[in-house]
Amino acid sequence: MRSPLVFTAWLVLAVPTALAAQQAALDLGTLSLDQLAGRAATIVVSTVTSRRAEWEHYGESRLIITKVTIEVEQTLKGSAPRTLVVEVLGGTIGDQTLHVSHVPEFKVGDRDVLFLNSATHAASPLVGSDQGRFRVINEAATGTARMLNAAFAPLVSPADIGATVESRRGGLARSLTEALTLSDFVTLVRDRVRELERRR
Amino acid sequence: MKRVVSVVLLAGGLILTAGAGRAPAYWYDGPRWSVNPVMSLQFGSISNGATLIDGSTTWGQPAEAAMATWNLYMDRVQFRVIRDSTAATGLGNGVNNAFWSSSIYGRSWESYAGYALWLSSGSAITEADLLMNNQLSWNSYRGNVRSGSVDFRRLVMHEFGHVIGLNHPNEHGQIVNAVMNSSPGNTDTLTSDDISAAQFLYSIGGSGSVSFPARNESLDFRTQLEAKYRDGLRRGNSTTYVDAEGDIVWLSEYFRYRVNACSHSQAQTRVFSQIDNTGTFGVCGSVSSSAVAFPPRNESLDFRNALEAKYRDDLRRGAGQSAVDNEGDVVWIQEYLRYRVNGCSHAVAIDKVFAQIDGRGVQAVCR
Repeated sequence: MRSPLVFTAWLVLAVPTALAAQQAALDLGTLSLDQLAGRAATIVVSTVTSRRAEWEHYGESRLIITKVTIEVEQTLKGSAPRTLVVEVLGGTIGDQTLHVSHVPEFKVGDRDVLFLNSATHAASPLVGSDQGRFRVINEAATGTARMLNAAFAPLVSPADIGATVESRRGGLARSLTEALTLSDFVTLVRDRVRELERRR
Repeated sequence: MKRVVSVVLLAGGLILTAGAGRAPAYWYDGPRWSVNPVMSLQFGSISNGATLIDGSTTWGQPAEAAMATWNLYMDRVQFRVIRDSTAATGLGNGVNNAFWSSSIYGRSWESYAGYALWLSSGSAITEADLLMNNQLSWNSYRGNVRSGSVDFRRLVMHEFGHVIGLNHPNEHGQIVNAVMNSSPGNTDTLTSDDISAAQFLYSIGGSGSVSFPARNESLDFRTQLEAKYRDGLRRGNSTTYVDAEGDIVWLSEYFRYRVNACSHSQAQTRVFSQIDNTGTFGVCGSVSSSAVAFPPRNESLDFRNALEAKYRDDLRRGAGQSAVDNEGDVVWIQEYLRYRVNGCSHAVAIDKVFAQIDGRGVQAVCR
């Protein structure tokens, strides 16, 4: 059996341009689907297979980072090997935990659509720090894979991506069965990526 | 990790019933401070000596204001500040650094204005650093977000929320207006949900170890005081927007908070939140019932004047008349309550207060 290719994400992703870095730094609000897709170097459907926390030293600082191994099912933008290792700032070693705001926590078994950024050594591997993550969960009755947004709420419409809390107040109760299927979301993302590339 | 929520994950499907009405929706990670977090502010001066939109002349001012706002709702711990700290910055150094940075300890920013990093061991937060992105155009202002400049005050208020152990309610299925949402947007100060979170983690709770008289008795005293001023002292009427019941109820609440370890600003904030119906609060600490300390009169009068403004400007109450001026009002209600919490009955307390009004000096308490 062939061994999985293991790379750290920063090795396989594109080098950021100064412009992209500037745009990212200036955007402090919630990102729309087009913004996420446009800024992502790679978009994948993947499952977390393992994670390992390590100490990292920076000057006098002693940080905890977590290396998260993900198995890639589909690549929707860019290119990615079948297995990727991404790094997130934060994690737990023994009874010591480093919590970092705006950085997602991955658990083994998590299945997601990830919008990966191109930064070489970032606090988060995702576009928008924690916004570029969409959870996939299976509907219990039918097994249909459906989408949750960054808030872990059913993603009913692409218009909800990047919508403010205020503008979403109308929908206080939503069923998972109303959420986009993974298949629909993948098609949607591919279409947006193609459209954004066509506009360039 | 934990919460207080209205998200229900059912085996047969996922139903979201988040944040309806005023249901609390906050989210916290678990660990909390057991000692006061002392923040070393290292933001330096404003370049070119400029003044920020809200009038701040240093970056430390809005940062301290943000911490002071959280402090109003926390009892067990309070933010403390070291101004213009020159401590070395670093994670794991035992110093809670708050400073501008071009990276997160060597790792690049990703779209965010600020990050809080906090270390915990078991259930205790042991250190927290706050790093703000020095690549952005910052200012400090109230109201809606302005294009082209990031509001430092609301962003540090958000990050200080992380420092005390809170996380983003909107990333855990909650739909609620909160400065702790991942993007505070136009929310420029703490909301009732943020306040509930701070209270949940750090409130002493309870109504206090010092018991106050029943409201009907306090109101009876206030009615008799009115008659005393009008008929006994022959005082003329002055204008007030606070009716007699509101006067005695909210002054009693203010004094109840004060004698149960709340500061002036904590007590006033809590009373006004009660008036606005935006929260219910416990007292700030426990005190010995044998050592009940009432606030200095200038602070009581300051509260009474603020209550007057609250009724007039916020509640839009109409003008009324009272023979008891605001100063007499707070002085004698405070005296009445002081006698009551020191063992005097309602009738005895009234007699003692009226003896004072008649010039017979401060009377002995009843124990």
